[in-house]
Amino acid sequence: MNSGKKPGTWSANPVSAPIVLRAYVVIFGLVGLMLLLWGPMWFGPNLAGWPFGGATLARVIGSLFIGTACCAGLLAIADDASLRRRSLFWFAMGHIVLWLGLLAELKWVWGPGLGDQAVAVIGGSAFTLYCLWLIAEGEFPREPYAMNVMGIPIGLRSTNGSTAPRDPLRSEYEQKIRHAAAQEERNRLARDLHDSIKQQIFAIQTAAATAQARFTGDASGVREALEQIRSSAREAMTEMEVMLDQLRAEPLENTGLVAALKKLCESIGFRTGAQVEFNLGSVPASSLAAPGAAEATLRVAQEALANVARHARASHVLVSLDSSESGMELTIQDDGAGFDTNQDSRGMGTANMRSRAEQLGGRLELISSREAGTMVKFSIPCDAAPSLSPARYRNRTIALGLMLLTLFLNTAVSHWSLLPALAFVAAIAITHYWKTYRGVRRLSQPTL
Amino acid sequence: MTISVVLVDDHRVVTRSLKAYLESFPDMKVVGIAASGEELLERLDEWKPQVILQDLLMPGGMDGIETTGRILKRAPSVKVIALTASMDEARMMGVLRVGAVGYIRKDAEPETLLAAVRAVARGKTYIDPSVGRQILQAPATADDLTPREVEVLRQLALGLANKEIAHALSISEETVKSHVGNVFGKLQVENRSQAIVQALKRRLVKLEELS
Repeated sequence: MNSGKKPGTWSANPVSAPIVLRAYVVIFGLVGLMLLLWGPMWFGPNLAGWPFGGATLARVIGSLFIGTACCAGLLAIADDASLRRRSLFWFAMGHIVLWLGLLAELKWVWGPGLGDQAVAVIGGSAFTLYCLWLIAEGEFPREPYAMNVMGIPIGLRSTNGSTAPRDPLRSEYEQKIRHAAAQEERNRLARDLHDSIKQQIFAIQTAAATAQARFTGDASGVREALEQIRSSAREAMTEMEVMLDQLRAEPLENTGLVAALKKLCESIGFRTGAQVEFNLGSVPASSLAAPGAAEATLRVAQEALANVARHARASHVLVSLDSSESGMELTIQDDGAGFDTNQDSRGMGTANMRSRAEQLGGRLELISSREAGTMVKFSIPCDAAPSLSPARYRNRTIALGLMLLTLFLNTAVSHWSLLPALAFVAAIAITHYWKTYRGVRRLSQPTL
Repeated sequence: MTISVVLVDDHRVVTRSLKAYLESFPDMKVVGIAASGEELLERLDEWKPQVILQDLLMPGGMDGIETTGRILKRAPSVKVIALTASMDEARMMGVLRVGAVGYIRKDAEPETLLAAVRAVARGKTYIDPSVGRQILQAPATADDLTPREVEVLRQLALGLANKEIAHALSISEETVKSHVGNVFGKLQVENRSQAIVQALKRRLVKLEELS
């Protein structure tokens, strides 16, 4: 997947974005600090002839550097990739604007002497910075607005000349993964159908034969057999519903996570004869705010409970959904056969469950040993966790904006000609916040 | 004389309904239900069944073929019927090789199961008619047996003992034994149950004759 160097494609994932951002914080922070502390001494005498003097210029650039370093620092600690990717884009755009604004100041206001070379150098470096950001993220932004700022497709042109919104290699890879996952899902469904509904129908058939065989002379036996037919049919129905939940693209559309989990537990109880208990702790709705959190939780429960039914031979199963320190936690515990986690966990969908956890920045813990039962713990970060929480992200974004604004107000106070640039950046920032806010609102209303 | 049966299947609903069905008949008594091969082996001495109806595909470490082998090592007189979803001939030959005397598809009619339990209790080998039909659909295997051996195989498949075969063909029991040895060698089988499958493949017996 990584760095697929094929003509006409972009390579993916060369650097980790947080590392680049941290380097940025150190370099720009130090340079900014130096400019603030000693800049006026260096610039002052040399650029004494300029309006407002070199000392002001040094302070402006210094505070800009520190400001951007602060933003970079905030982005580095936010570790939700998709949110950061979006923020990074606007961060890089902000750079271009800042640099161009500064350039305009240098060229037309302060230093008419600075020529077109300066335009090329500074504009080029801003653009390079932007591209670096995108590449550092490992993936180009998917959103059309990121591709196309005010009608200008920004640099995302593959080497064969066609616009490449997505890395074709990556798309192909993702498609393969999706295909494999679908295949695995299908196999599991087939096994589940065999293990649940087929057995129930067999039981119905046998009980009907029992009723026939006992028809003369054993009324209570016939009644029992009929009761068996009805209960098997009822159980088959529940299992069918659970199966349909698994087939649906959006399983929680109608029911919500808790209802789906309850039904799933019931169906596993029917199938195995084990006592399956479902424990619901306090799970705030916002816990499921991450995209796909509820669905992933259900899918993991399906996978883990299918394993319990197929391999564990447990008599008690405890499924609990609760909030934890780091977020939300789904635990599935059984007192069955267990297995050696070092050896025979293949074909049990563990990789599948793990990848679901990782996609959401969470983790999957699997504790088991032979004859000692199995515990699967699926935890994903949410409100309490710093990384994924929409609320925290929003706060950070606001802080970031305030910083930018203060910065610009400072520069604007020192020279009013910066106002157009300020207005432009503010417009970008407002669009960004609006998009973020809308995204956050949408995400914090999951079906529970 | 009731036939004592043990049911082995990991699906609770299946064993529960089968028990109710079999016990509808006065000659049947379900003496135990196990969810796995391990559980069955643990309680085999306690239950002492005549017939074991065993699902070949079960969770846990031990597979159906291995379980069958172990059961027969401990209690050679027990008749094991393999219940299976698979129609694979190699698998069938495998489970017959380790000593199962019945082979039934899991989705068979309950009457088939009943017939199988009664047949194996009488000492016969029972192959699910639908599996038998499938075997018959395969092209007939070329015959490399002598006419006498063919005759012996046919009698064998019909469930006759060596002595009865000797009587039917008016030859000595020793001769029958040597013929049986040759037949097993040529067909590469180890016991009568496997020989029956081969006899079916050679169209030496009809399905109806077997039951």
